[in-house]
Amino acid sequence: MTPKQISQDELILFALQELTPAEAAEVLVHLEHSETARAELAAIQSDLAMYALTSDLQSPPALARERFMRQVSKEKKVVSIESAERAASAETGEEPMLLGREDRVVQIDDQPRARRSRMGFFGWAGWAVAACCAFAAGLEYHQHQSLQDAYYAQNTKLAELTAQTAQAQKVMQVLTDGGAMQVNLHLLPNGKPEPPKPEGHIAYSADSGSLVFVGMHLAPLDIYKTYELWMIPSDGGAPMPAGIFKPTAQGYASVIMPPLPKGVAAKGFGVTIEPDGGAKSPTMPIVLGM
Amino acid sequence: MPTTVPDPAGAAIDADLLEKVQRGDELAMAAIYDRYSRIVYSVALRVLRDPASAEDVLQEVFMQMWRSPAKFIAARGSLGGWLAVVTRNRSIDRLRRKRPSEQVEELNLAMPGNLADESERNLMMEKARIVILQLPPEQRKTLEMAFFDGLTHSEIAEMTGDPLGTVKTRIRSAILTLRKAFQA
Repeated sequence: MTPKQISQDELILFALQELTPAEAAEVLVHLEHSETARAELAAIQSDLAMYALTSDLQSPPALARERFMRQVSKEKKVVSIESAERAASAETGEEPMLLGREDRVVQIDDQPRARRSRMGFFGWAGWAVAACCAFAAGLEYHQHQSLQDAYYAQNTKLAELTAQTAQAQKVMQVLTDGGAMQVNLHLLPNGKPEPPKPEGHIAYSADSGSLVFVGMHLAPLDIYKTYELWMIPSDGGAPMPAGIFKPTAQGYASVIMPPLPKGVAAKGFGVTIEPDGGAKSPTMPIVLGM
Repeated sequence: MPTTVPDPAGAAIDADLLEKVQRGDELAMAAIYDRYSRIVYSVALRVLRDPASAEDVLQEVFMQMWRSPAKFIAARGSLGGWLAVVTRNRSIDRLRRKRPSEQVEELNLAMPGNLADESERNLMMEKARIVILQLPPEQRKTLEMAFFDGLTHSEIAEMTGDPLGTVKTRIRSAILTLRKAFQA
């Protein structure tokens, strides 16, 4: 077909879907050959999209989302079965739309009822085999589903383990990093020494913002209170919260890899007692520090 | 054509989501729904004026995306704009009781901004509304009849008593005015 020239008005009619199928086909042929026409049509569609946006914004009912997501889940399975069928017909070389229905109908109509009844034992055996196959296929499907569920569960577990391993590796890196800052925290000189003395040990790597704190012989806290570790930046910035912790009955506590920014050099560290949940800035006094 | 390009961040998010949808990721599909369902529902409601029918179109449009995400590649344009046009066409098909047409899905829409972003979308909508309000009343009415009411040019000419050529000119002028306003 020789493409005829298309006016802007025709492109507008095409965009508004006002053309007859024959007219639309002509426009499509022209569009295939003309980049200018394609650009103009895209511009018209963009203008119309902008115009569509003049509609007052309304939220769809909440149930519409549920309905949609249900359909999405449902169609996912349908798609996979269809794909499987397509793959199967591709293997046999059959064209399902051409061979499927009519041929089967003819075959059934061509079989006289009397002949069907003469199938006898073998006929029924055939049906029995078919039923067994169907049952086996069902069983297979359920097994497949179970295996798939198990696979997903294993995958989730694997992801958790991988995350844990990565965390452990980070901890190891901080503990073994020769450049990491090693600090021992003691009771402040103005405190009243009591044996055994509360103490804390910190390994901090400023480059990666990784920190591990281990505290021992820590005094028990009142209910609704918590210890909070603070990092005091060397640039004179405000103390940064580096994790909250509560000691065990034996006075032991740890903070592993709290969320800290990378590249902040520390001038010191301190531990304060704060309300449960922690505070934005340290509350005096500092019970452990350097 | 608007000279501004689609918002790169919004387009990148859409492209990523569509890629995941192509792999059958239901959560990505939910994210696209959350980003654009208000636009789709609002356009459908404006055309159909019936919440139940608008909801049906909403489902149809997003299911089409779930079934054939490859039809739209975010890099080619604005997903929000595409959805607005597809929704309008689907709704008009429903009004005319026609089978849905597929012609629009292949288009590259060069819309500015990120329609998934509420503040940006509101800004664009406000701008579009102002431009529409500034159109001569007959142009505004004719465009509305053609776009939202789904009337053909001939039907509009018959209803208004204006010549067919005048109807066409009014619609073309209104579209071009809208374009100029967004190019400015």
